[in-house]
Amino acid sequence: MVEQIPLTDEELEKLLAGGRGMRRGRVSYPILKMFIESGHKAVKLDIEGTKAYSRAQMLRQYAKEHNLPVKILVRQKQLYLVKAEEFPEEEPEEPIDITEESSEVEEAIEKKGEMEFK
Amino acid sequence: MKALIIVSTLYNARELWGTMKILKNNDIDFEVISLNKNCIIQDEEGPETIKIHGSVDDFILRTIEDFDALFIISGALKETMDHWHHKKIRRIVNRFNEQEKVIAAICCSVPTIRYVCKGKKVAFFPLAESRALLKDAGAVDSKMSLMIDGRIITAETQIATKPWAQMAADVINGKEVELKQDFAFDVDDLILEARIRRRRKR
Repeated sequence: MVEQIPLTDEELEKLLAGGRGMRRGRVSYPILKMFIESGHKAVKLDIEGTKAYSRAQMLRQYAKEHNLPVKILVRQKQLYLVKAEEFPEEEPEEPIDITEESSEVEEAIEKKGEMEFK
Repeated sequence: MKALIIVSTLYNARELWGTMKILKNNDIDFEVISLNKNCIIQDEEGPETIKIHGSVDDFILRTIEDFDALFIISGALKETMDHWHHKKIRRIVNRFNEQEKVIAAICCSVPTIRYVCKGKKVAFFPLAESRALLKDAGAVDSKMSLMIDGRIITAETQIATKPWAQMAADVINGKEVELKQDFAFDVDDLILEARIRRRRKR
């Protein structure tokens, strides 16, 4: 016989959430947790070469899924973690002023008038 | 030639830009207005904003004489539905109709012009509310993707933007317009065409 272990409500909730709540990430979790708790604004990880890109992809995915305030950058095959608060807030784009004739407006009409259907 | 475009504050970019391009290519000037008093509108799907010519509230009805056509363009459904019952917009639509000018509407914005569609065939996005309002106003469901009946030009969805706007532009410019009875969009073809274009770009 196989033993059946009843789940608590909390465990059941995590299970039904699709497993994401249960899975911590064998590699990503400790790296990001350590960085967030470190107090550093940015760190360079000891991963170089092409591996840096695949690791960055994995960390980005984990940070996105768990809504972590960390940006993952790769510069010259070197992997960096930077606190999201270090990035200046993106300024909203200036409105396209179609009330005045200009080459920019004409270009926008020409280009955006050909939007593709996804 | 000049057209007035009434658009939702959260606009449908494909309809708005597509229409502006067709008008420009046909040498038709245009003014764009919305319900937003600060004259800034935003793409319903993204951060892009546009500064437009004015607001519906500030629009002076007697200036309708300066225009040859009215275009109603949809966007976020809530405001598009607000247009259906907006008194000033109703007055603008009626005034364009009284002066026998071209009136064009697309997708969910078609019920906005229902007051001038009595006995006219229309194409519209088939929301239950749209169908009920148009039926009550005496409009006839053409069951087509694109329809022209006299000066009233309507289309079912944003996919029809180009032929719809081109048809309206042709009517404004006094060209003869013929609607093929078998006219219909093959959505699969359009999607396939878009995919091929994207692949070519890559």
